[in-house]
Amino acid sequence: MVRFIGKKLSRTILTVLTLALVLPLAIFIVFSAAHQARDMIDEMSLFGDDLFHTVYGGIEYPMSVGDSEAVREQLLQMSSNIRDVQIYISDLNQRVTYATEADMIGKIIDDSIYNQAVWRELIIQPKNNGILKRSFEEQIGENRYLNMVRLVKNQEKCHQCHGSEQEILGSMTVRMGTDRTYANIYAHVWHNFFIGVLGIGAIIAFAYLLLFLLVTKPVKQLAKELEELPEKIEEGEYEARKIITREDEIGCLEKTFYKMRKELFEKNAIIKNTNKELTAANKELEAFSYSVSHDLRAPLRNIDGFSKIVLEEYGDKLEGMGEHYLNRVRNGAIKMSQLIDDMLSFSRAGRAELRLEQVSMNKLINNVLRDFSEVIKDKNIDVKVEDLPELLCDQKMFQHVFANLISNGIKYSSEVERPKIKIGFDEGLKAFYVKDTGIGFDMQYHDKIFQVFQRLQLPEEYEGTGIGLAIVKRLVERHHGKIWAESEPGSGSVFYIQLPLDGMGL
Amino acid sequence: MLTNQVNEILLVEDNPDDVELALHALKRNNILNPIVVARDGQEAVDYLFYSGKYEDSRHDAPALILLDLKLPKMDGIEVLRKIKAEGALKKVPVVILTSSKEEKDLVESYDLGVNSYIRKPVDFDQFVETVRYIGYYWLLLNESPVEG
Repeated sequence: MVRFIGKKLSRTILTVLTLALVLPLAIFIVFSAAHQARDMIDEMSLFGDDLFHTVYGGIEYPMSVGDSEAVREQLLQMSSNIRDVQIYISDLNQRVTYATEADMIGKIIDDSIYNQAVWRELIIQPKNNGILKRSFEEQIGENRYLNMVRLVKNQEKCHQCHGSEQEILGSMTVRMGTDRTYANIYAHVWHNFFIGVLGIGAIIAFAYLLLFLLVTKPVKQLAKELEELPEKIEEGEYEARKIITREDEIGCLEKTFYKMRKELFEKNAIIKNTNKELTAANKELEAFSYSVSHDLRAPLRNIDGFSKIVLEEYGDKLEGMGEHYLNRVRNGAIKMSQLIDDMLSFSRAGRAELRLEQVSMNKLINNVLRDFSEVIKDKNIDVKVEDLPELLCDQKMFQHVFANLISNGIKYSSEVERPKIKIGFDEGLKAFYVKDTGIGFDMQYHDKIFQVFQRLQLPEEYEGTGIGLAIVKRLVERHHGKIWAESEPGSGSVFYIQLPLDGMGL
Repeated sequence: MLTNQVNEILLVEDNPDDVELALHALKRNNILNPIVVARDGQEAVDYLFYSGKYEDSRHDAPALILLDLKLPKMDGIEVLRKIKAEGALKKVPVVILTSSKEEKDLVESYDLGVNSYIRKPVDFDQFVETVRYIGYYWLLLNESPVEG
């Protein structure tokens, strides 16, 4: 089953889109909220200032002359016009002389109205440098207020004619609740946020839809066709490729896919044809080797048979080297027959069907060694078999492989004192090995010993046609394995066989 | 060597040299049964089924058939198939004596019910020895149901 990349693709795009949209939105909302808050506070301050001036203008004169009634009237008139605004006028001792809330009159202004530290700061200021006024926002209890406090100066023109000569008469405070404003701002922020999220959702949904229509769907279709391709090839379906109108990457991908598919169908047809030819060639080769095995041997039998009859029945008539030469003829015939046999086994090793099974190599080696038990005893060879892993292989072929390597080990150990043969498994190389203490060979001939009918020793010294290792190599390579040797003249040899142990590639 | 039957041995072999060597080996082993040589598969079938040039011949079924596989006209496997499909002939021991030991031939021969399959050795000494074993076993040691 194809695990389609669409899910991953959508997830990635979704994440990217979300990050790309939500982050700026959040930043925008925070900034705009802060900006709005500042704007509103500024606006309130301006309003407060206006109010302040109006009030101050209205009470400046009455206060200077001490006309309390006029001040009270002024304030009461104002308080009916403005909500959420409190105005307090106090004397130097912070006693409220006039206020928009009637019950505050006569009370001392304390921290419950505004932070008295500001008042103290204000009163200590150098008394004649400009406007003695302060605007600030603060939290009192559960509410937040914008306060404007300023000192009320005695008006020169007034106190010349009336009342007190004090420079500062008291203070005037305008206090506005800002909670409602902030609530408005928050509502606004939430509103913005809600609209933003909706917008982003819509954008993502739209992007997703576009993505689905333009990318996911066609790619999915392609993937599906790709998945079904082997089956279709099997069924020999050569359907015409569909018309592609897209000009983008996906269209390009589709075009490439259909081109590849077409080529695949064509190549498949060629392979099928080649296979047919190969099968035919193989059959021919089999017939050829059959007739080689049959027809080449017959004349050899005749050569040997009639030579033997001459030797036995007309032996007394042979003079000089006659008998010797006839025996040489017979030897030649037998040797030739051996070569034919070897050639056939070599060719068979390349063609025989692989029958793979899980084989206990220790069992297999023990079986092989049983066949050699007599010669091993005769030659007093010390044979050691280590613990070997199991192997997925053709049992018959591997029996042949190890029989050959062990017989080589025995053969080339015949002239050595206290010969040893060890069969083991090299964990590092992941390779089986057959190690002997025989005569060894020069590594420059390493590749030669695995070739057909190549021998390093004289036939008089060591028998054999030189086919054994060539067959072994072929059998190992049939298993996608590797065989190699390490040796030195006089110090024995090690033959390694390395196979994919899990049978991978077979 | 004595045989309790005087029936013939049918030797099916196309190569005249091989025929000569086989006859030589049989003689060497004192096998006294008369020997009939068929030079191809068709001739062997004709002899066994009284057809062709053997239509009017009067002979019993052979005591033993030595059959080569690679033969002109009709190959040994086909001959074997015909022999083993026929009620009376089925009991005659058939020894395949051939050059090759192709797995395919071996399996097919045994599937058809061959009694023995021997590959002719190139070494003539061994061949003589082989023929001796065959004669000893199939003509002397082995008991066959007597034909009525």
